[in-house]
Amino acid sequence: MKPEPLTHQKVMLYPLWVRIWHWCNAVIFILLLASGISLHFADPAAPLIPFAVARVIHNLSGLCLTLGFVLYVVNNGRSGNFRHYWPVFQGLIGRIMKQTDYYARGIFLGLPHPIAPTWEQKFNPLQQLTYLAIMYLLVPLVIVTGFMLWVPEWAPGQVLGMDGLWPAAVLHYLLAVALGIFFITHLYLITVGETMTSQIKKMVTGWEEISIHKENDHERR
Amino acid sequence: MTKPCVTQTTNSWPHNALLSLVLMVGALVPLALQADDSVANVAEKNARCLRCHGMETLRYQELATGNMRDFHVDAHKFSQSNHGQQGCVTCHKGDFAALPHRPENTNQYHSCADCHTGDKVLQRMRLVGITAQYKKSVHVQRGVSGFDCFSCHNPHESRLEEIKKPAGNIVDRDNDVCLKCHGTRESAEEKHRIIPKAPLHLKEVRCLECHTPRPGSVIHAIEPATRAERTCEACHSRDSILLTKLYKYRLHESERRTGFINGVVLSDYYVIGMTRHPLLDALGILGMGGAFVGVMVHGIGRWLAARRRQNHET
Ligand code: HEC
Ligand code: HEC
Ligand code: HEC
Ligand code: HEC
Ligand code: HEC
Ligand code: HEC
Ligand code: HEC
Repeated sequence: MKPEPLTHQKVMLYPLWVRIWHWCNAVIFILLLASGISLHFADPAAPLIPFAVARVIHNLSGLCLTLGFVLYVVNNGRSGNFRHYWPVFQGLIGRIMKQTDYYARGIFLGLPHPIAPTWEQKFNPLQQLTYLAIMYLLVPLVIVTGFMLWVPEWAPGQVLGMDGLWPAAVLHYLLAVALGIFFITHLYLITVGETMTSQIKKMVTGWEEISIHKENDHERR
Repeated sequence: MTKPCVTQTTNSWPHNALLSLVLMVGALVPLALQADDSVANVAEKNARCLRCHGMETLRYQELATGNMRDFHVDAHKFSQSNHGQQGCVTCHKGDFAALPHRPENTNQYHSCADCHTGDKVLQRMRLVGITAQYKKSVHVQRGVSGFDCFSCHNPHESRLEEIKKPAGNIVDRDNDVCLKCHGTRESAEEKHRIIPKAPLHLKEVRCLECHTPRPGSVIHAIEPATRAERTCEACHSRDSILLTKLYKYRLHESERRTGFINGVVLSDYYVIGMTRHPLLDALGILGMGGAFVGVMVHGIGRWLAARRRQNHET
């Protein structure tokens, strides 16, 4: 059961730079997915986006993604926003179970969210681990393999007797599929807030209502 | 097949500037070369010609045009070629005993079809079809002067089997043929600004891929530039023209049937849009589609549950 919070308080959990980055990323993701699908499943008879156009879109938005990513990593470290990504390992499994159970059952019964955002940890553990993997593993890898495809000279010449571009391309493709799956579920999870739009509002205004417990009460704001 | 032993006798000729062509022609020493047909050994006969023509330095600049004329015949490559067992004089009819050779003989060449009429070679080479294609090519249509089969095929080096060599070598070899007249690689890149990554494309595909009509096997019907391939999807798609042109020789039927079309190509090239593995494609579609269906089902479930709760309350 959820411990009773002492107080509720509205705090700025999503500072302006995070929100700008987030919405830019959203647009970039859509562009990359649409153009990437067009490039991979290229077909003169049924082009989603013509190959030549898709290539330009993909390269430019790939570049934007990279820029955004670098700024994000730097800012995340400097502003302390990274703390939200690093899991508190104690009791992590239990909290993961709790959150999974919520999505599997609680949400259908109309129960409240089991893990409320706090000043220290704004994400629930599932979100947290997903974002950590996405932003610090999948996205950097997709960027690196993307650059190899852009400038093939940067790809390893040979891997296991195959052209070095090949593993890069397959990895890029698989990462893209994973990121696509993430994107779809991410869109869906917008709707699981207190109300249908509360998640969107939060990402627009940056304010989040958090519960202040005794143990993590602090003056740090 | 026994390779004729062509002895290169250039060492009997001091290989230096003194015996450069200018001097030789200037000296006008008549050489008693017997065109003796009774000599059974073709190689020995050829060696007489190769004594001079085996020298790499056997070339001069034509005063009138400034063009370099090369009279060198690579003895080794010749012996390896399809005509390696033929005598020089089989094709070069006439009297080459005197030097300078008699002017009336010098430009008397046979075309491929002069000798290969109705024989097995002719059939294997599909010469009739190729000649018909050739006649439709932009070079013939525009009447490029002095243009014939030998503008592209060195009669002393051509080998049919070479076509089956790995694609990389084929690209270089075939493109060098065109670049002999169409400028350097750099100037070719200049002309192909319209294609992104032109240096890469000119290195990895042949001029013929884009400058001949689809579908493959009509590489001799070179078209004007206005008709050149500029649709990226022609190559960057599953039904890539490369599979019927450049990579034709490397694809095995079995691999094509199992859907693993790019089995052979795969290991050497990755061509975006073409090099696709059906399993990976299915995985991608299933993954994304599954996620979509999953969230839909979850959403509908939530909606139904919420409605039921509401009904209970009222
Ligand atoms: C003593 C050196 C020498 C020998 C031996 C020799 N040639 Fe030549 N050949 C030349 C030179 C020099 C030229 C270029 C000048 C000219 O055209 O006469 C030439 C030119 C040629 C040409 C090109 C002519 C043209 O202008 O298109 C042919 C074909 C040719 N030789 C064939 C032969 C054959 C076949 C033999 C052997 C039977 C032979 N040569 C033996 C020196 C030689
Ligand atoms: C299969 C027929 C064939 C055989 C065999 C052959 N030639 Fe030729 N040769 C030709 C043809 C055709 C040309 C004209 C090429 C061209 O137009 O560029 C030629 C051109 C030449 C030329 C002139 C090159 C030039 O730039 O004008 C020389 C020299 C020559 N041959 C020497 C030889 C010698 C020496 C041998 C024997 C080792 C030999 N050829 C064997 C067909 C043959
Ligand atoms: C002067 C006559 C002559 C000319 C011109 C000539 N060839 Fe040949 N070619 C021959 C002879 C003779 C053979 C040997 C045939 C045999 O081995 O049965 C031969 C063999 C070949 C072979 C090998 C066939 C095999 O089964 O191994 C090929 C390929 C070939 N020629 C292509 C050409 C091409 C292409 C041209 C034009 C560039 C050409 N030939 C011009 C006489 C000629
Ligand atoms: C514009 C250059 C060019 C001209 C002119 C040309 N060819 Fe070719 N030809 C090529 C190239 C390049 C290839 C190599 C194709 C390959 O690698 O598959 C080739 C291949 C061939 C082949 C073997 C490939 C096959 O399809 O079986 C034959 C035979 C041949 N040519 C005959 C001829 C004859 C005969 C002529 C004159 C009527 C001629 N060529 C004129 C460029 C040319
Ligand atoms: C012997 C020299 C020579 C060789 C070899 C040669 N070409 Fe050409 N080519 C020419 C010349 C000269 C023209 C110009 C014809 C004109 O516009 O009057 C031309 C024209 C063309 C054109 C038409 C350009 C236009 O403006 O429409 C194309 C395409 C072309 N060549 C492609 C090729 C390819 C591909 C090859 C190699 C397989 C090749 N050529 C080999 C001499 C050559
Ligand atoms: C990927 C396809 C592709 C390849 C490969 C390619 N071309 Fe082209 N080529 C084109 C197109 C498209 C044009 C028309 C360019 C334009 O309209 O600006 C063209 C134009 C040309 C022209 C006429 C342009 C001019 O300014 O005179 C020549 C000549 C030519 N190509 C020769 C070659 C040669 C030689 C090679 C091989 C080294 C080659 N091409 C390879 C697609 C290709
Ligand atoms: C004649 C076939 C052909 C055509 C037409 C063609 N391409 Fe390519 N392209 C290739 C091949 C083959 C490669 C792979 C080169 C390699 O080995 O990396 C390639 C590679 C590329 C690459 C580099 C990707 C990588 O693997 O790093 C890009 C980008 C590209 N093509 C874009 C285009 C665009 C845009 C067009 C249309 C304007 C086009 N291509 C037309 C054959 C073609």
